[in-house]
Amino acid sequence: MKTFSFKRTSSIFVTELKIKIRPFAIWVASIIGLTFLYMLLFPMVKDIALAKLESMPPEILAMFGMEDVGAIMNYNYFFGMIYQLFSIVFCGYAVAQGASIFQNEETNGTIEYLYANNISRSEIFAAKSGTVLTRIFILSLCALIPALISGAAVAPDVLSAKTLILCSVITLAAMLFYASLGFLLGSVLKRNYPASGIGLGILLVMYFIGYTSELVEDLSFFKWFSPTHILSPQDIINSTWGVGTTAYEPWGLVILSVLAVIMAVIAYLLYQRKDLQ
Amino acid sequence: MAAIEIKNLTKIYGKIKANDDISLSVNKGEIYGFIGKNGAGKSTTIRILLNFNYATSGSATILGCDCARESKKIKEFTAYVPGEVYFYPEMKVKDLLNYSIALNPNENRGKARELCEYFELSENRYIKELSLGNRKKVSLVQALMKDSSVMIFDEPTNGLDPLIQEKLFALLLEKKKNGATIFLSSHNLFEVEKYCDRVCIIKDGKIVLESDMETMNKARSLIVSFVTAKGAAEKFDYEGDINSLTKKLAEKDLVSLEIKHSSLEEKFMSYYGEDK
Repeated sequence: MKTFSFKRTSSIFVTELKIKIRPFAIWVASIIGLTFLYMLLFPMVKDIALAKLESMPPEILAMFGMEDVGAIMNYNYFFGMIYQLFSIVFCGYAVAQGASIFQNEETNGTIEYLYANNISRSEIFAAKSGTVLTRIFILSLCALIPALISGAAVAPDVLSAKTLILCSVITLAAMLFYASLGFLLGSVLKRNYPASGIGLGILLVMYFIGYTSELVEDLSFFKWFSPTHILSPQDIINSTWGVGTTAYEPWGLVILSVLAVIMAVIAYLLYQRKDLQ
Repeated sequence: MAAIEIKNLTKIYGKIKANDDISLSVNKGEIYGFIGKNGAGKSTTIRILLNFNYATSGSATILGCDCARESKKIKEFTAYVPGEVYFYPEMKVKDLLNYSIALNPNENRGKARELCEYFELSENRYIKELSLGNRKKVSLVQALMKDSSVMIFDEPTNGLDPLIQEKLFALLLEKKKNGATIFLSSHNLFEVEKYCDRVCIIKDGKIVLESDMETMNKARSLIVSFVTAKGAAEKFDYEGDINSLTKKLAEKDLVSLEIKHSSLEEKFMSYYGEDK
């Protein structure tokens, strides 16, 4: 008897995708719609947006990664500013999904059905975490592809596809970090503790700690407590990896990727021994 | 080798001892009744047998396979019906059965169809539309469609009408005849008394009685109740010689008399009486 069957794992994976298709379809439609809306409107809104943004306090702009408002006149920078907001939403989605994959089934009682079948917890973990990873990957494509199409339509001369793809990759890394954090919370917490809510709380606390680093120069090291700041799309655009001139330091990406793997492994090990509540 | 063997099993949740050093053994080919009130430790025992939960100490095996380490192998030959049935509400019955077949290669679609007809269950209905009884039927079909040598049933008749209950036990008796072992946790003492070969009563996580039904039947006391002409009513358990009893009763001027064997329910109540 094989301890890990790809066929059985695929069955759980496909079923998991199918039974939650409606809420995910709403997310996909919303992200595609919003990306097209913002990016196709770029030629019309850039001047108005510039005027409005220039009247706002720099601290507020910094909160959304918009320190240089003049950069909004460039499509790639404009995408970076919009995508900075998307990245927080995406990370929220990732941590909530990661935390709920086991807890939802425990709360609904359906996990008992899976456990009673001829499948191992490793297969369940692989299938369910695979579902989350697939969803966040699709979601990041739902922002990238419309942005590339819109860029080709409204700013073909300045569009840097490589920059936009790197922004997506860096945000995907942040999403993977938060998905792993979600897996860990879902494996550690009992079902009466809302893992998704706690995950979202951690995301917001980390985000505001990162924001503090932009407000207070002496606390600039706070950036290293906020994955959404460490893996900021704006940093990619401003660097030589994007369309800027500064050097990009990939250490944050490396450290967060390693942490994501460590959290996922710990979540896997804890899940193997988790009692059904 | 016993079909199910539990040795010195203890399960502690925080400050609560759900199972306290329990040991029991279920023989192959028997129906074993496992009874106790809510919270006595029945479900915890079943969850450890199926590796939903891990024991704090002690061991449990099914057909020689360790329940914690060889859980996946155990599920190849073990069927389970939970006490409370939860399935994916967005699925149709047939989709759920197909899903089960995809996860368990030794399950059979033709057998599932037969069982749906047998239990009068429509495969085209959504799970969310089903009543408790019909959801229980889905669970029964799902458990019985594979050729299992061990069956663990937790309150299998809960929500079923009496006709379907009869049909279920007819099927279980046939499975038993073919060598299957059935571990039946139930609150329905009548069905335990009627169908089980052996019975075990669990209270506060401890086993207080394990006996075969034959021995229990022989050891049953008589429950005597009568009313005299003067209106005095009396009820007592009697375990002595029956001729002495009739002689004593003949001396009284009775207007009504009832003598019956004590049932499993009375035995059960004797352990739980003080909790009432």
